[in-house]
Amino acid sequence: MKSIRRQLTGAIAAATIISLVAGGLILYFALREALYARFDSELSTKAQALAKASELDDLAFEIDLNVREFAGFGAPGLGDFFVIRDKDGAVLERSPSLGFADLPDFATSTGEDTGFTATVLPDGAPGRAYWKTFQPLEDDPDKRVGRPYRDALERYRDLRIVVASDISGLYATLRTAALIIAAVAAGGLLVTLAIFHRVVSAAFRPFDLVSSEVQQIDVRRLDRRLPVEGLPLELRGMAAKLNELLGRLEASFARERRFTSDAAHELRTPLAELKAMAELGARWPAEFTAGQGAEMGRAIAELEALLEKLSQLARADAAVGVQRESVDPAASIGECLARFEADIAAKKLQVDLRVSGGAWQTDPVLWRAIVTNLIGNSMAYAPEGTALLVHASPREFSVTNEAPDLQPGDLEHLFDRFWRKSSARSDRAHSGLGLSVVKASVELLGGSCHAALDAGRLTVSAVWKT
Amino acid sequence: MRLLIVEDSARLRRTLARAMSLSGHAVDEAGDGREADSLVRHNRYDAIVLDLMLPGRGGFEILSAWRRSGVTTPVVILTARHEVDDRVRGLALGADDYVPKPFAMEELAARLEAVVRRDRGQADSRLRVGGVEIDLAARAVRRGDEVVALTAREFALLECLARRPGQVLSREQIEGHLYNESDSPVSNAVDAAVYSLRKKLCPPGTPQVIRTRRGLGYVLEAP
Repeated sequence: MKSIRRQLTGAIAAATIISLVAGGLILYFALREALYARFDSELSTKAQALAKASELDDLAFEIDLNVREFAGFGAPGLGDFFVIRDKDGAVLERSPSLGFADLPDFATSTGEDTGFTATVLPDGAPGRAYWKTFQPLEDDPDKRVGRPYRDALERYRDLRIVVASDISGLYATLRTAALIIAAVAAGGLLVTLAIFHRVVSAAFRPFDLVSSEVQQIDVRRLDRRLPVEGLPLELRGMAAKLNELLGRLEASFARERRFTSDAAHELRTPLAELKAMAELGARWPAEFTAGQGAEMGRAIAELEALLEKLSQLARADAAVGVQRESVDPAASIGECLARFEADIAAKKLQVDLRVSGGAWQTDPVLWRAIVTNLIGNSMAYAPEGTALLVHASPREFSVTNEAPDLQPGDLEHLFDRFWRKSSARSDRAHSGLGLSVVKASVELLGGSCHAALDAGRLTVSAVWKT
Repeated sequence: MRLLIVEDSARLRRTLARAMSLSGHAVDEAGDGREADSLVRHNRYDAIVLDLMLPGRGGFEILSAWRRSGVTTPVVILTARHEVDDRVRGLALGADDYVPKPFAMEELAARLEAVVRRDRGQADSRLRVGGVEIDLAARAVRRGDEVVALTAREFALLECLARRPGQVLSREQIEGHLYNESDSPVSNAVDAAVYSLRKKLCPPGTPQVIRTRRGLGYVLEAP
């Protein structure tokens, strides 16, 4: 499984190792170059000094003995060596430190007049050699006359000197430097990783906390919230948003549970009625009269009406495709009023229908649900002998009726599912679902529902943007 | 048993009352809390069936008020609310049992019988007096191996006496258990019912288990 912490630690460790190795190598090679440059400079200085100490004296080559004995050239084991050869390779002078040994003639072997090279010293130690071509000094230029002198000049022209020194000390210094660099790099790596681990752990603590809190959220209980206070800025927004989502989910689940519970509750009483009537008839057949049968029929009709409303609500909730077509409002409202004709007559209601505008585009099923439930609701709660105003236009459909029992505080609950003024179910014809069906259907059609109470008259309207 | 059914659904209330009446119980009905309250204050019931969602005062409120004012009549809550919280609350407020809707009539009757029996401190629903065995739960009576067929009213009378064996019950007390508020029994209805029950229960030549206490009433006891 991928771990950001592990990935980050791995990446930082790799970057640190690469940086330290690169830094160590750069440092090592810079030091090596500096040491070699210094060593070479010393070699060339020695060669220069020997060349300066060489002269032609009485047609013979000679070198200042003090210089010959200079530094480590004087005796074997001191680590410095030189050889001076003529242009034909014949040795003219050698350092006493060489004893009977010799140094290679690099000028001849390489074809170069000057240069540095690694070599093995006569004592077997590793060494570094420098060679160059030089002209010995003349003791008295006034003597440049005569054939012997010209011959001597010709013989000792373009002399070649090779100077070599023991380099094992430099190698030892480089080895020590390499060890120190490696040790410092390893220590640096460990310290860096330790610090990084602490820093990452501290930085990831809020992530761990949020992760642990999220894992403790029970899918069946969503009342848990993430602690926002104390979280770093980067996580606060996410935690706050997550809390908001959890809140919405919890409210939604609670609403769903409440709805399911209310729906089950609403179904239980009519079922209990039917079951009781059926049991009564089964146990005492004489009790199963025509009246009892009619009563059972009414109970079933009420159950059907409730199921129809639940089905309308489920359809609106599921937001199944809205299929708009041309609907004549006057005709559809007229049909609805015709269905309620007997009830309207029984309650002696005066219906005032005002329709403006012609046919409009809407979903006929949703429209019928809106009209039927809104008119049915108003009609059911309007007191006997009062007026019902039904108004329809392309952007609004509203019904106004007398509502003497309704209080302004009731308006906010009017569209709640299963809300009734009284919690008792004594009037089973009204489930408390009608207006919630209206609201869900109107919203599905892109509109909104409003309720207003004015001097005891309730107006419930559905409004659409044109 | 004398029962009070408090239920706002008229259809369910009527059906339930009718079934209980046919089973031989005297039943009064109330559609809301106020009516139920008035009936409880003026009558003595063996048990009350109480719906929770009532117009005006809810079932919980009514039950709580009854218990506070000393009404100890067993109460069986009958409701469509199934949540555990509701059941716990109902029982905590003093209900004796809880029957969720929809329910089987037989189960409700058995639960009513059980709460009444518990109220009387009777562990067994069967009672033996002399050679007569009365099963209050099964609503059956035997004399030896013989089943005694009783009408609902006769069984109600026997049940009334059997629930208080050895205790003398006045005619008024018996009347209160046999008839509901709307019944208007004739003056000798109880005596006639006792006469009829005695004939079926203890035929001539067998010892009588229902005895008359002159000027006091009737008592069920072993001969």
